[in-house]
Amino acid sequence: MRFSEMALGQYYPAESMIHRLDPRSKLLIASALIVGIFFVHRLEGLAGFAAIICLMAVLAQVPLGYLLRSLRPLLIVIILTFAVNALFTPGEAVASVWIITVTREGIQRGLFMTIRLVLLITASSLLTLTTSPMALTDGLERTLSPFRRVGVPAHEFAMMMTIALRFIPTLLEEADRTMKAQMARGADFESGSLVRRAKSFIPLLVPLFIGAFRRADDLAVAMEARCYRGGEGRTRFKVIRMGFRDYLASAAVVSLVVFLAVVF
Amino acid sequence: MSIVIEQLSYIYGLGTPFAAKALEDCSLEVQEGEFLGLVGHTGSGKSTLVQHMNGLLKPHSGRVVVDGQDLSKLKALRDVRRKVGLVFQYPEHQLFEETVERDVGFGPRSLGLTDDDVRERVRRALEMVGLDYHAVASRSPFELSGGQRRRVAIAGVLAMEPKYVVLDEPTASLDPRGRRDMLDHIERLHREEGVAVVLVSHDMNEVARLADRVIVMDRGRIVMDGTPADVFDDVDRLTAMGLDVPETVRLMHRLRQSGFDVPGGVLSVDECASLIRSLLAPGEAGGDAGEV
Repeated sequence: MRFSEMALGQYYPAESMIHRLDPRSKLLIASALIVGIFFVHRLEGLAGFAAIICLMAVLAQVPLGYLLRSLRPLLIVIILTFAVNALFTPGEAVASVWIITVTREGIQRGLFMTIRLVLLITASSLLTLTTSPMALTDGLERTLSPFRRVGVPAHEFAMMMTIALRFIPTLLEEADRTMKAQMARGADFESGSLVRRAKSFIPLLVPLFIGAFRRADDLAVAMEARCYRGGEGRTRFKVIRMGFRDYLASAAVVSLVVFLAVVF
Repeated sequence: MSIVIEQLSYIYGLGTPFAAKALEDCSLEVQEGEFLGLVGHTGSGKSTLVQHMNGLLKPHSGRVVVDGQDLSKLKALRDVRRKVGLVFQYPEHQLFEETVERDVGFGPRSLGLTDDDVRERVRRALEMVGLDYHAVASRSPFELSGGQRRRVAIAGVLAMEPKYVVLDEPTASLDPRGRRDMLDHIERLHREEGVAVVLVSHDMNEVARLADRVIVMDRGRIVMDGTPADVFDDVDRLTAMGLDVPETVRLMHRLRQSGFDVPGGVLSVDECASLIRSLLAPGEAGGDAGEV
C-alpha cells in the first residue's frame, strides 16, 4: 500500500480552459451534474451525462486513465452496489444457484446504478482535478458569503476546508514515513488475523495523532503570529471574478443538464 | 558479507504527472564493520537510497543484495530489516508506547523473544545510547526531553541487534552538546560492537572525523566515493555542488591558495595545528613560505 499514490481529489496541473474557469462556475457545473444524474431514469440519459463528462475531461486535458483512477478507492462500493442490485431485485430469473437468483431486471438495475455511481464520482473528481484546493475553497467561501447574514460562518468553514485539504498530503506522507519507520523495527502490517492486523495499526495511529496535534498547535501559533483574526476585513491577492466565459459555460452545462433531466 | 547495491534507479510517482527521478544508476557496497558517511545536499537522493538498504523501497531497476540475498527474490523482508537497522530522520516521532521499556521492546517482541530476553535487549540498547535503564524504563517517552526521546527511538532500532545501522541525519536540530553526545554513542557502537554504520549527514566535520569512507550524492547519482582525505581534497567540486567542506580542509585550502606548501589529506584538527606550527617556525619548515 502506498498512501502517497492515492488520487482522490488531487489537483492535476494543466493550462486548460476548464482549469481557468472561475471556481464558482465549476462548483455550479459540478453540482448541476450531480443533481441531474439523480434525476435521470433511463440509460440514454446517463449516456448523455457520460458524454458531457468525457468532453469536459478532454477540454481539461486530464487523461481519461487519470480520471478513472479516482474510482479505485471506491471500487468495493461500486462492486457491492452492482451485486446487491443484481441479486435482490425481483423479476425474471436468468440464472439461479441454490437460493441465489440473478434476475434480468436486477442486472439492468445494477448496471444502471453502477454507471450512475461512476458518473457521480468522476463528475466530482473532475472538479477537484481541475481546481486547486485554494481556488475551490475560495469559490466556496464566496458562494456562501451571502448567507453570512443568517449565521453561516462562511469564512471559518472555508478556512477549515483549506486547512484540512492542505494537510491531507502532509498526513499521507507522514503516515507513509511512520509506517516505514515501524516496519524498519519489525512491525508487520500485512499478515495475521484481522484483530492482529487492526492492532498492528496502533504504532501507526498514535504517532500520526500526536503529529497532527503538534502541527495544529504550530499552525495556530504561526497564524496568530501573522495577526490572523478571522475573515473580517480580509483582502485577497487573487480576486476571483466571474467572466463572460464562466457565465457561458455554466449556462451551457446547466441547460444541457435540465434538458437531459426533463427528457429522460 | 556486505550490502551491495547495483545500478539502482528509482522514480517517485511513477505514472503520474508528478513523476520525478530520485535515483539514477547508483552502485555501492557497504562492508561489514565499516563506517560510511553519506553526504549530499537536500533532495540529492540520500534518504531514498538508504530506504532501499532494508527493502522499504523496491528499485525500479537494478538490485540490492544483503549478505548474499537478493531482496527482490525474498518473500519476507523481516530478516533483512532485523539485520539492517534504519533510523529515520526525527525518529522520536515514531514513539507510541506508554513506557520507554515497551517502546524499545517493540522490535524484539515482534521477534518472538521471551520477556527476559526482551528486557535484556532493552537494557543493552538503552545503555548503547547512554540512557540509564532504571531511570527511564518505566517513564513515558513523551515526558522526556527532545534529545532523550531521540535516543529512545534509536534504541528501539538497536534493540533488534542489527549488523548494519543506517542513521538518517541523527543529529538534526539537536543542540551542540546533544550532537556531540549522539556522535560519541554512534562512534562507540561502531568501535565496541563492531556494527557497520552508514551516517547520512549534512555536517562535513562530523563525517570527516568519523567515517572511513565518504560517498557524495548529487541529483540522484553517486558522484564521489573514497576516503575522507580523497573526497574532501576536491574542494572546488564539492563547493560547486553546494556542499561544505570540513573547516580543517577549508583552512588548508586557503593556505595552499595563498602560496603555502601544504600537503593534501589533512583532516584532523591536531594534524592541522602541528602543520601550521611547522609552517610558522622559521628555518625548521624550510622552503618558500610566501608572505604572511
